[in-house]
Amino acid sequence: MASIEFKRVEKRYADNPPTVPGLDLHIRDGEFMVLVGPSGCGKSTTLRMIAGLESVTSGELWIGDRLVNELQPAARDVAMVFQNYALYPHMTVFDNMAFGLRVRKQPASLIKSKVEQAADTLGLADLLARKPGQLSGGQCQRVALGRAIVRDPQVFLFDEPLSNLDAELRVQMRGNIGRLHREFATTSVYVTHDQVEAMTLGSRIAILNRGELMQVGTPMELYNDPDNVFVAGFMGSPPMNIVPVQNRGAGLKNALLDLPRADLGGLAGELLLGIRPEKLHPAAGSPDHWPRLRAKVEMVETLGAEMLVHLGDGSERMIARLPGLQLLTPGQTLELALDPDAIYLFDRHSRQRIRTVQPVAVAEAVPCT
Amino acid sequence: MHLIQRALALWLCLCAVQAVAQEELLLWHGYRGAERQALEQLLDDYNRSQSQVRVRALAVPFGSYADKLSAALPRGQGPDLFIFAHDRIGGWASAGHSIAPIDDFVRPQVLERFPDNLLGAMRYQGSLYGLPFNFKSTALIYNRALIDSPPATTAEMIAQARAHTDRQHGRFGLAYSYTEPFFHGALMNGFGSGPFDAQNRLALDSDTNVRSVQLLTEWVRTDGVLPEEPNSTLVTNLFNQGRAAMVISGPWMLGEIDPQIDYAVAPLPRLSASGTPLAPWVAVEGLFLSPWSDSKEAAYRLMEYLTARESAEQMAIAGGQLPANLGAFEHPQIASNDVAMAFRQQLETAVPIPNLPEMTLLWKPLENVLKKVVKGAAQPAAAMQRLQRDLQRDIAALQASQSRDAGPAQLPAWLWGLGLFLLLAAVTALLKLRRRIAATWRHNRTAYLYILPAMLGMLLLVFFPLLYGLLLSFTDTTLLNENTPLASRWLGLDNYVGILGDWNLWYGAGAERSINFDNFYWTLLVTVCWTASNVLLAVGLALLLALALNKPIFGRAWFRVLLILPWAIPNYITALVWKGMFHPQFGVINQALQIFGIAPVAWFDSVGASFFTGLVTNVWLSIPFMMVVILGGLQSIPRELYEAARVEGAGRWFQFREITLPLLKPVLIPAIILSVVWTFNMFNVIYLVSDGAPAGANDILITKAFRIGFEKYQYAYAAAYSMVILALLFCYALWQTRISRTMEAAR
Ligand SMILES: Nc1ncnc2c1ncn2[C@@H]1O[C@H](COP(=O)(O)OP(=O)(O)OP(=O)(O)O)[C@@H](O)[C@H]1O
Ligand SMILES: [Mg+2]
Repeated sequence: MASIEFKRVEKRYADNPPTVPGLDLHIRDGEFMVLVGPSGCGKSTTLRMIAGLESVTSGELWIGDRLVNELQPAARDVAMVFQNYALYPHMTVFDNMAFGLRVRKQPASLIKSKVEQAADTLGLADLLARKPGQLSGGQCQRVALGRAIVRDPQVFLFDEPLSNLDAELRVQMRGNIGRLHREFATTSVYVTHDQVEAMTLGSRIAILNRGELMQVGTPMELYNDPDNVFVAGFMGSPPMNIVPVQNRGAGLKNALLDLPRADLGGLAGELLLGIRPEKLHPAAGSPDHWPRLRAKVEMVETLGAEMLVHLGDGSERMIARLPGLQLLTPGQTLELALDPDAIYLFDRHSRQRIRTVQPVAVAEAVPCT
Repeated sequence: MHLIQRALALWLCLCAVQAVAQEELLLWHGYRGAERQALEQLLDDYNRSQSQVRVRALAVPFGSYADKLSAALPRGQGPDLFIFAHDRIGGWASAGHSIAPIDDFVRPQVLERFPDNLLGAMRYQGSLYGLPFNFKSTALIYNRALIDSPPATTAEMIAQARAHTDRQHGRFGLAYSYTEPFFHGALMNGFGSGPFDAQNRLALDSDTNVRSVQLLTEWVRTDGVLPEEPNSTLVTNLFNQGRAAMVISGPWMLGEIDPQIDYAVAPLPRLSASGTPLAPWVAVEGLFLSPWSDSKEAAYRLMEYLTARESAEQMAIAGGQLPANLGAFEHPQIASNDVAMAFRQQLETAVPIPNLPEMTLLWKPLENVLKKVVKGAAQPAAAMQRLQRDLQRDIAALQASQSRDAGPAQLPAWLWGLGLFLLLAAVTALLKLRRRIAATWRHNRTAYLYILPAMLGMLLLVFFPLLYGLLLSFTDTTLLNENTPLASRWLGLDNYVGILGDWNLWYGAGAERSINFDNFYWTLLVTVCWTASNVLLAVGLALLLALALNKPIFGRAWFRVLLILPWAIPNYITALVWKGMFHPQFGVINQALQIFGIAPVAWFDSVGASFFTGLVTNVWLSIPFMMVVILGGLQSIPRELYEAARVEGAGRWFQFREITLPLLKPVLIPAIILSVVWTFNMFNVIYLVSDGAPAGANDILITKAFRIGFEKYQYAYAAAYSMVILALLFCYALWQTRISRTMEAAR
């Protein structure tokens, strides 16, 4: 097992602008690191650089105590699970799983016992003689996992391994992968663009955007303490409400909100305010000092126990996650209270979090008109 | 009343005249260009000059002329009269129903138009079969810039030739296709009576014939004045480049001589030893009569007209022919033509090619012997003796087929039995299945209609010839008896016994022992080696190239185009180009070898080297197809598989063995199966490049079958040979379907 360290790693394809412009990331030994980000942001590229399938343009990439920039994939002792499984169609399940061991010229008896053990773990024992063409998608995925684990590598790499499966299987396989990680505690790097997968599997999550690392942290750190608008907007479903507000020196204001506040003097005039949908509560029953907002109901999505209420008109929109108890009709005006501890402020231009001030002075909170 | 009677009489008369005028003659010829125009002009004049006969001429493309005549004449579908070379007379006369003697029509004074030797060419077994029309023989053509006066004797000729030979610079005093029997005939006839003795018996091993070969060997090996591996193109090129001082060739070469070259023609010299002149063979074109013609008398009159002096003059002046009516040479315009007069003079000593049917068997084997002897690979006497023995056997086979009356004049009973049985089986099957047949017919009527043309085509073009070939293989059909009823040719399984039961793998004994290259099993061995080595090499090289071109190397698109290009060239052209490149003296391959200080290789002299020439050519021809197929296969292998393997630690070789090869199998196996069949029957390359050299050692089954059929004229034996080839390929097909079925199951 080993840690992985990116030191100012850059990746360019030919003369294009860099796909990964300079990544600093430390993946700890035994950690389950999830890379998330929108499509095309360079997740796969990053992962493939670890595997050695893509070269590093500049910077240093370390696995354990070895600088691996120039090392062939074979020498890196990593195992990779591909999105479309990449099983050898002409080999049986057994041979597919035994491939890496045969390359390493392990004795046949050892191969047999290792493969059978892995097959037991993954529930593939009955399928060893089949060929990939005779397996279902989920079974193929398990074979691909099995092929990775029989070799007992230092690092597991997963590139969207579950994206070809249906929702139910995905949940089940997610469980499988989590269990495997707990069992083997091998350093794993897992690429996905499904944030539920990221949240449930990751020890830590690294969020990438256009090749740049936006933030790294445990799922709850990222959820509760986003560094920037991108992370705040990326995590959570529905995502955090982010609305522009004016800093009038004495308070924050926009079409929906008016939050009075004394000492915001040092901040720019244009800011972004963020609040998660579940931090908007019905006004009735909320503490009096919480700021209020009144807005028109535009649309209601009922999810059973709760509902998502789309608020606003014209330019400003917000979503509130409310208990599914009351009857709301579009067009009606609703009054809500904001949890003052859950209000985030971001710089409008750098889109970075402003941590220097607490946006709302609790005592002075006044409901908007 | 009178008036009516008269009118009636007049009308009847008119009818009669019209009936006479409707007598129509069809004349076939193989002429093109000026010759054709001159002939057609003559015929037009003839048609205008009288009203009883109308002559229609049909110009048959030269390449298919002989086949067309042989097919049409015996069935009575041919022309009334035709123009053709005289050397087929014997074959046609023996086969019967192909050609009619004209003794009954000919007027003695007409024969005075022709010299004796040309008339002799028209005679076979005492009958006159046509009137000679024109003649062609070889003579000495020399470059006047190099040769002042033509040699009178062979010693003089060789002395002059030696003075003009500079092998280093590819200059030769003398050049001609000396290994072709047609050219060597001049020597054989000069020494003695040619390949046949006075009684028309084969006498190749006669003292004079052996001496003629000895003299040729001396010219080639001791005097060294002749180029190696000659052929007509090479001879013409050498002469046109001023690198051959003298050549022996015929009037056909004159049109190809470079206008820059100042040349003259002279008769061939006399033999220094005996003083007798070299006597080249002359090919005489004659006017022949079809036995089926309804207007033989009229046809004969047309022959007279066409060989009359005025016609001959016109054919000479407008058509460029050398007319057989020698009177034409007195015409001032011809008499002043030195070239024509030289050939006219050569005719004095020229000898017509024997028109015996056996003669057709002689060309190829005699050529093989000449090639071998001039290379020093055989001794003249021994080689001619062996050739004599072999040919006597072949001739005996032909004659036996012709004279066999003792055999069963009826087809064997079992054949009828078999036919009846098959018919009954077919009828019962039809009756039994008539419901289903009717039902499927009703359901799939359009489908059946769609495939009907193809089915008819298959029936006509594949099944019928196949059945015919099968029947033929049980007979002893040859050139001489192909028109007799099938029953009288029936032989049974003898051909197959002759092919498969021939275990004479060796010739001679002791130190003289050599492989019998005519043996079926030797040819089979060669064919198997040929097929295996070709497929292995072609697939291997194509695989290497495809692997290289599948990588993103520089200029890959261009390389692909370049490598596929050979495919766009007809394979016989490629084959001829390779043959030229392998020419021992002038080919680039030997010249390149010499640049690197390696001794030139006599490519067509040894079994191995000759095999190699065919191999190289065919591999060159097969690679593009294989490469395209394999490239397609490579590109269908997902890249992730290689990435997965790399991550698993597999090296290149392991990836190739465990991923590329197995995943290429679905395209490789069909490609190999196809290529095996193609190579097994790759006629063009063998025939055009090595031509089975040396002495048929490198013939594969299909070229051997061709030689038996069209060089030895043993049609039935060739048919049996083909059936054996078919059976071999059939077994192979069965075996390979089993292989591919197990492969399918394994997938
Ligand atoms: N071989 C290549 N040549 C040039 N550009 C490439 C190449 N491979 C990837 N890219 C570019 O690099 C960027 C990152 O690609 P990458 O595959 O890492 O995205 P990703 O984050 O995995 O996206 P997805 O979620 O859609 O899989 C993309 O803009 C892509 O177009
Ligand atoms: Mg990707």
